[in-house]
Parts: sequence; structure tokens; C-alpha cells
Amino acid sequence: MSGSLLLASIMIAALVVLLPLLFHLTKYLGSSSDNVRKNEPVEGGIRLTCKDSYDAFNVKFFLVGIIFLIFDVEVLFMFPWALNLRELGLFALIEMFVFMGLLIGGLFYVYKSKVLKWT
Amino acid sequence: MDVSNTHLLDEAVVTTTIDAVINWGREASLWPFVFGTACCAIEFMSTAASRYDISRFGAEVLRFSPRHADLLVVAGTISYKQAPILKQIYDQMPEPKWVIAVGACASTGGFYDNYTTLQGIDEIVPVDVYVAGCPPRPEAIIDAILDIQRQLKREKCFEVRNTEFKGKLDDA
Amino acid sequence: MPNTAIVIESSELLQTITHAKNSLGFTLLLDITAIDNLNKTHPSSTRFELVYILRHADFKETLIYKVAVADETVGVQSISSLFSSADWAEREVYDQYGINFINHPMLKRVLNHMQFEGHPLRKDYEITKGQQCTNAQDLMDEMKPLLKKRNLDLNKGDLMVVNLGPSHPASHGTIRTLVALEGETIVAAATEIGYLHRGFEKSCENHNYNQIIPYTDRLNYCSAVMNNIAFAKTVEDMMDITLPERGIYIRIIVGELSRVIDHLVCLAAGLLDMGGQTNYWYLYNPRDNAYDFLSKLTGARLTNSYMRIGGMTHDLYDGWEADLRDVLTKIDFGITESLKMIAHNRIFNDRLQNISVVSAKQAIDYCFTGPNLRASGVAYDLRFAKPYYGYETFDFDMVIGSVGDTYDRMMVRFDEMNESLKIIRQAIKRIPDGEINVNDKRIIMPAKSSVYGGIEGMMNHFMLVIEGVKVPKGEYYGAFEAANGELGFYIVSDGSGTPYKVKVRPPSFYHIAAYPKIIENYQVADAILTLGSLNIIAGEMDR
Repeated sequence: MSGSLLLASIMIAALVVLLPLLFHLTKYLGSSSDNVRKNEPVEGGIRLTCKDSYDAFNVKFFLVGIIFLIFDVEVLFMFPWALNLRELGLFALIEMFVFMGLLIGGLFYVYKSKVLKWT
Repeated sequence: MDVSNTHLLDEAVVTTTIDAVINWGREASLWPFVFGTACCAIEFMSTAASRYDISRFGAEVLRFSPRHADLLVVAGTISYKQAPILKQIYDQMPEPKWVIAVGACASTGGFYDNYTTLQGIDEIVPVDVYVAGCPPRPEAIIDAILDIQRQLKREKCFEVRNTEFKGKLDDA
Repeated sequence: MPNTAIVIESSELLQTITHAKNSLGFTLLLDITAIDNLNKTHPSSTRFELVYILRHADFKETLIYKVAVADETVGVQSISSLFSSADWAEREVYDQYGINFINHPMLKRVLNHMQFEGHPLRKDYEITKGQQCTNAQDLMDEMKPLLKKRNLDLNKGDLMVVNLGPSHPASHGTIRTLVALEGETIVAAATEIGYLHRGFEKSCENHNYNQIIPYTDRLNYCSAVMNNIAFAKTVEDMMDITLPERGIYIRIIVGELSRVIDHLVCLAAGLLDMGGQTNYWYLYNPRDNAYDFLSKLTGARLTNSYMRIGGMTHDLYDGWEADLRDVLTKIDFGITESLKMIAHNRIFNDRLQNISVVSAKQAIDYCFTGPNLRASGVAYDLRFAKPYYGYETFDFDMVIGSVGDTYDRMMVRFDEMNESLKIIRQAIKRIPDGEINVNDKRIIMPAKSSVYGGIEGMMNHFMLVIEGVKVPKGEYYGAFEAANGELGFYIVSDGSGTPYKVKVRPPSFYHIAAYPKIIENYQVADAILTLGSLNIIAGEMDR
């Protein structure tokens, strides 16, 4: 195995094993209090909340979230591309620009249809 | 219903060096929840400002959600109307948690001995350190945090705290 | 010199006040309070009397009406249809005295908790009788009519009702607002206060006048000395005494310094809520320098208790001038640095301009006073309208805003600080030497040498401590331009050293009463900034 692959797999193993282990350890080793109020939602200290939060949320929040997700994934794709640009060559450069161009077109459409305006 | 804390291992295991390590971690990064109501809250704001910095002592991250905090700093007068709010916030904090009563009003009701002021928050939550003053100087508040750190060092890290406390609002 | 109050019948209350508002021009309803005559030596016709305090549109005259309440369970007509500020004022009278108001839109308690039984300011309610509260109210009885008025249905999916709770980082103290949200926009709001109600007015009935001074410190705790001055000045006006020149100048200097540090806190906290944390450091540090000066002068940083009836505890210390000039330089530096960062900042301007606009007419209706009223364009400052302490001889300007939005309310405070610094610098140059206290042995404590040296001094000291300063019988409303607005004290004296009744006219109470109305149709983040710009100090609002 190459050095970097070994390093990456050790890191993933550590994360996958160590972090859940720490969480479970605190559950068994640490102290906890169980009282009725502990598991209630935090609403500035008020107990009698008039509505629970299981109702539908306004669609504006969803739209902002989804649009952010799309562009975030685009950036995610750009990272490995940027690191290996030299090996991938001119073809990859043009292809990524086409990809970005399509998404910029989408952004333009989103801006024009005023979805991002909150009111 | 009173506050019942549970613990799996209880007194079966003795931990010394682990105590030292974990308590060092806890004391150097106390996350205060500032339950500030009145004048003492202004003095606490001064303590958090750049002259009497409390972030020197690790308590930099002032969290405003009880779920993220481990040190409840009650700064100001607590009235009877405010008491259930304080109790709810205290109960929603995860263990381990410490409580500082800053000022005369939080400790004993101050000079408001009347129909509306709770005569000390120790009627509803267990208090670890009381700070006298009206309002106490920022140095006194920092001394309280240092006192909590000193108390922390002596504790067993996996022990449950405050099992016997029964406050006035505990039956609700 | 007591005010002369006009006594009217309860049957003609509504028409008299309508006449006063529409024809005589008394458009500002300052306060409504009540007096319980149970313990008075000369029995009055009825147990309860209501007191209405109005101010004229040119801000010079005050008008006080007194109404005898025949039966408190029946009560009198509510005037909340005439003045919006009457809404919460009448709720407070109902809460503290138990007087009913007919046709009030929502007559329920405002300061005490919902499980409280009895009316605490009545003379037969024992002061130490506390009542435990186990649960907060859910405020839906206020929210449902608001939603119905806007044709909104709670059960339809989109509406979210959430508490900007009493324990909230941005609610500056303990103010609870229940908001109904459509997305991020607030469509309806209901505010609940009273979480810091500490029984100031009932405590006043148990203490003598000088013992009340520390209680007044804790009203507006950000500018404690101004409250001392306001209370002491009201009592001195009742007794018809004036301080010597030097005493007045010291009051002006320390009072204006307190005004500056109050505005510093308001702006620092407001800018912190917006995310401008550097401004918090820049505006808070001069406050610590001011604290150094104040603690050297008075002995305490925050709650000074410097003033007494008839003067103050002691004179300025040697070397005060250099210290004070140093403090003023540092405050100047803090203000300029902060303004440099925000004055042309796109984020600051966009977030604050045209948010929660309060027009001049609305501001008068809600009874805003102080910087909030001046930001809406109304030129009302007691230091100009009815100058006291020689303010007319100082060269300073009144700062007025144009739009009445959050931006105006904050920028007015920046400019007012500069005006106050001007006043302090002029006063430092002009302060004369001389006495600081009134020369009257019935008011001022004798010097310790005579207390321990002779029998007269000791007896004088004894009487002043045990019985207090005696104020002639009467009722008086004294107003003062505090940092937040018009701080008034309505004092009823029965001739002894303990007041029969003290009512504080708190500026913040009326500001927060208008808050749920002015945040409608703005977003949650805007509501937070509006709250910061109104400078609600819970100690004064809840007393």
C-alpha cells in the first residue's frame, strides 16, 4: 500500500472507531440527571410551549437550504479537481468551466425569479 | 419530583490520575451560562470585557443555551416570577454543572425583603459559590470562578453531584 | 411646593380627558397611578383615588387629575381608547391596587405573576408575604385575539409561535416576547414583563427618604446617579429648597457623566447584537475608566448612592479635574473609533435604516420620551422645555432624528453623548467653590465632630437617622430628563420622614409597551435590534 493510502485508512479507522467510543464512554462513565424537565425543548426557560415544532416549516427556509446545498456540492467537486489539475490537463479544465457555467446559469435564474428575497 | 442523578459504576472504581486529567480539562474550559437579570449582569459584562477578562481563566465561551453550558452564573435579582424560568434552565443543563450566585440578591435576596423577591436562589437550585457585593467588583466574580476551579480539582470526576438537594420548586 | 391636582368625578373622567387631549392640547399621557387612603390620618371620601398625569404638547405644563373611585370592583372607564400608553398603565394599577377599568382591551396583571393573589400596593397587604410561582403563563390569551384580527389560523401549517424567551442573550434583561412567525417575519407579538419586579414602590413606603436613595440606584442601574438626582430633586422641590451653586454643578457633572455611560452601554450592547463585537470593546472600555473616576469619588463603581436629600455625601476629591478630563478624553476616543467603524459601514446602515419606524404622532401616543422620542423628530427635552439647575446657561444642542427608525434611535445617542461631554467640559470650567449641601440642620447630617462633641449635634443626628428628613404634607410630581427619557417621581407625603407613596414614572415601561406593536412585519433579527435601540433597562421597567 502507498504511504498516503495507509495514512488515510488509519485516520478513517481512528475516526470511525474512536469518536463513537468516546460518546459511549461518557454515557457509561459520566453522571447524568434524569428529571422531567431535562428533555423538554429549550424555549428561553418557558415550559408551556403552545405549539410543538413538528408542524410544517415555511417553504422559504427549504428553498434557501436547497439552493445552498447545490452550490456547496459544486464547490465540493471543485476541490479534488483543483488539486489534480496538472495531471488532468486541458480537457478537465474546459469540462469544469462548462460545469460551472451551467450552474452560474442556474444562479442567474434563481436571482431573477426573486427566490432569495425574503419578503 | 426531585432531581435524581444516576451513575452506572458508582463507588466501584477509584480514579486518581484520570481525575486529575479530566478535572484539569473541566476547570480550564468552564463554559458559563450567564443568567443575568439586573445590575450584577452589568458587572458581569464588565468582567467579560477586555479589562477584567474572564477568558484568561478559560471561561471565554459564554453560551446562551443551557445545553452547551456547564457553569450557571446567576447575576441579579430573581423574583418569584423568574424562579420557574431559572429552575427550568438549571434542569436543562447537562451534568456536571456548577452554580455561582453573584451578588447579594441572588445569594439571599439582597435588600429586597418583600413580596416579590426570592430570598436567595438556593431555595430552588443548589449553589456552589456565593459572591457577596451589591454589585460585587469584577475581581470578586473572577475569584468565584477560581474558587469553582479549586473545588473542581478536589472532586472525583465521575461522581454524581448534588443528589440530596431538594428545592421549593422540585415538586412541580 | 405641591402640585395642584384637579379633582374630577369618575363619571366625567372620559370626557374631561378627551377635552384635555383634543381642545387643551395635553397630548402626552405620562402616567396613571392610584393612592390607597387606608392609613391616612384624615380619612378621605373613598379608599382609592386615581391620579392621571398629562403633559401639554409644548412640553411645559403638567396637568394632574384625581378621581375618587367609589367601588374598586366596578372601577372607572378606561382611557386606552384615547392614549395607547394608558393600556399598560391601567394594567399596572389593576395589578398593584385592584382597581377595575371598564372597557379595557386586556385587563390582566403586568408586573406580578399570574398565580399571585391580592394586590400588593394596598396598605393592608403585608410587605413580606411572598407567593411562590410554579409556572409561567402561556400568553395565548393575548396572542389569539391578535391572530384573529389578522385572519391567521394557528392550526394551519405555516404559522410558528415561539418565545423570544425571558432567558435570551439579546433580550437585555428579562423580557419575554411571544411571536407568531411566518417564515422569519413577525406577524403578531405579545410581550410579558415583570420578571424583575422587585417591589421598589412598596419598599419605599417602609423606608425614610434617604434610605430610598440606594433603591433608586438600582432602577436604571446603568446610570445610577441620575436616579439619585431625580429623586433627591423631587423631594427638594417638595420642601422648596435649592442647593448651593457648587452642589448644583457637581450634580450636573456627575449626572451628565452618568448619561454618557448609559448611552455607552446601550450602543455597545446594540452593536454586539448586530455582530460588531469590536464596538463592544471600544465602547465598554471608557465605561471602565468612568467607573474608576466614580469609584474614587463615591466609593462604588455601579450603584453609587452619591446624592442625599439636600445635597450629597461629600465633595469632589483633590485632583478630580485631571482624572475627569482623562476620562472624557478616553470616552471621546471610544466614540470616535466606534463611529469610524460603523458610520459608513454598509451592513450597519442596511440593517438599521427603515426598521421599526415610529412616526412622531405614534411616538407621542405611545408616550415615548427621551432619545427615542427625539429620534422620531419630536423636540422634547426637559432640559430645554423646563430648564432646571441652570441648564439654559450651558451651550449645547438638542439632538433630533428625522425618520424614527432604529438607525435614528442609535445615532441620536451617539450625538447626545457628544453634547453631554460638551456640558461637562463647560461645567468643569465654571464650577465655583463653596458649600455643596443646603445649610439646614433638619435636612443635612451634622459634622461628626459636633455629633461626638455635644448633645445638640448628637440629638440632631439621632433624629435624622431614626425619623428621617421630614417632608411637608402634600403630593408632587417631579420630572427629570434621565438618560432614557422622562424619569418622574410622584410622591405623596404625610408629613413624616417616610413617604406615604412613591410612584416612579419609568421611561422604559412605556417603551416596552409599544414594542410588540412596532416590530410587526419585520423579521426576528430586526426585532432584536429594535429592542436594543429602545434601551430597555429592566430595573426601571419592572421596578
